Amino acid sequence: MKKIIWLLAFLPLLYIAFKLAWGFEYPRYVSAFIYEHGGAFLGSFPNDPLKFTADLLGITAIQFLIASLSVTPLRSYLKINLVKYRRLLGLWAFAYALMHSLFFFIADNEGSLFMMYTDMMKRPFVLFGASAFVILLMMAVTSHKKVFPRFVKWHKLVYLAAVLIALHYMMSQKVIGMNVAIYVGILAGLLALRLLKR
Amino acid sequence: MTIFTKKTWHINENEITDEKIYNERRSLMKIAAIAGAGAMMPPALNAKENYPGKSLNFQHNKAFGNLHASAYEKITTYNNFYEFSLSKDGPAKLAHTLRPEPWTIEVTGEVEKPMTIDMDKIISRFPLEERIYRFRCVEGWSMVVPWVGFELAYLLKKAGLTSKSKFVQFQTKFDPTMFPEQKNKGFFGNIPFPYLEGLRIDEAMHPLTLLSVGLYGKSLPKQNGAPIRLVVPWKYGFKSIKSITKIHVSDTMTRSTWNEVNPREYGFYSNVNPEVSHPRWSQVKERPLGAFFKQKTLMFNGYSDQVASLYTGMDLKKNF
Repeated sequence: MKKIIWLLAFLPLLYIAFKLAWGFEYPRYVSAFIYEHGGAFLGSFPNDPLKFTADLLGITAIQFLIASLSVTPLRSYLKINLVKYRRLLGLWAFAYALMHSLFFFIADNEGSLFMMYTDMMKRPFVLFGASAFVILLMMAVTSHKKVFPRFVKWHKLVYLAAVLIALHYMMSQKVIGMNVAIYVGILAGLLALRLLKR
Repeated sequence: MTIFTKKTWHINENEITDEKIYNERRSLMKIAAIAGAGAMMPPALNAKENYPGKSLNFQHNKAFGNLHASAYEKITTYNNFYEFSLSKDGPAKLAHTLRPEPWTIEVTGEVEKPMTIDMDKIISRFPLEERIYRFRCVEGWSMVVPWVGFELAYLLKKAGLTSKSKFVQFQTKFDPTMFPEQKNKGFFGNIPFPYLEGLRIDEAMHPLTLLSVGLYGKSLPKQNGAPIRLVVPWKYGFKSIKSITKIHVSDTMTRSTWNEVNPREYGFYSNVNPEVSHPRWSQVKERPLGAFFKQKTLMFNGYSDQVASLYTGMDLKKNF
């Protein structure tokens, strides 16, 4: 199970690496080889590489967050116990959120704290995303066995992070399409299950 | 008295490159490009000398010839065409349901001679030229497109403007059998259809404003708004409405779709302006399609010299 999680965690990164690899120049025989053998399923260089990368990193973070939040309901309703993988799933959610945030900071805001600050102040969805990231960061830092018991109540903030992330995702769209609605719906469902349980 | 004012981009008859020579040059340039950047170019692209679509009879306008056009594959696989899909790669896959023939354009409202014209007549009657324009999307990406088209002014003059011709509204064809998303009325659906856009009459009559019927020398691919679309290069891309079937001239400011969907974010004018930040995207820079690095966005998308005078005295921050 652990191996499957690690494999799934690396797939999006590999995919991004392959897609972006098209953008570099290679000796002709190498590019010909890639085109002949890799083109069919990897496609071409992304039309909008910055958006492609940021979006995929963000979506993967949401997927891992959903996976880690599903652990408790899976145990209580379907008697599937994945509790021992929850930390790993959560840490991967954090890892992708970190890559997403860093990528946004470097590629979109050119690594300028001032630009990042202005962006957050002007665009609430950036602020929401950043706030959610701070919560995930706190959770990642306090997730070690030795300190976790002392911070366990703080980890309930993950539901606040989920709400912020849902808002962040929805508000970044021009029109809320079906795929966005599905992710937000799942997050809302998980939150509802949590509230029902109390 | 007719006053002829010579525009900076006016082409003299003797300056026009013969289409045959032009095409030969293009293929020569292509061969050179392939030889030079062969490493980067997938082999299959080398064979793609002929783009799909009907060949058009046009003249290349050199005044708009010095930009390096984005690759055909980029222009035709990254589209916002919500009548087919909310995704960028969706339209290229789904637009096969569009039937560009037969097609008519209706010109109505405050004109001397309201008319309905057939697409064939439009293509044969108006002087088609190729202009390579910058295209900047409000979402922050950009490309450079070799459009083939004619100045909208020719059509409007043919219909005859009156003192009441103050604004022009354009409408995308409404036909859910061609545009499947037009059926979508769900909550997580889409924008309202038919898609509407508008221009002030001086913007519509401006010689930069084109009705485009093709790109890369061929008739418009369906995902790019076949058979005829607007091109207003100094405005954000959504103003350049696709698959037009109605042009309505009126004396009051017209409705436009994005402005109605979200007036806080999309103004009627929507001129490309790096100084006016959008609530969702900073507009200072843009991501050229296929590039790793962003580039600076130019005022009026680089067409200030030609169009800035249209807006003298206007607060562009308020009239965004």
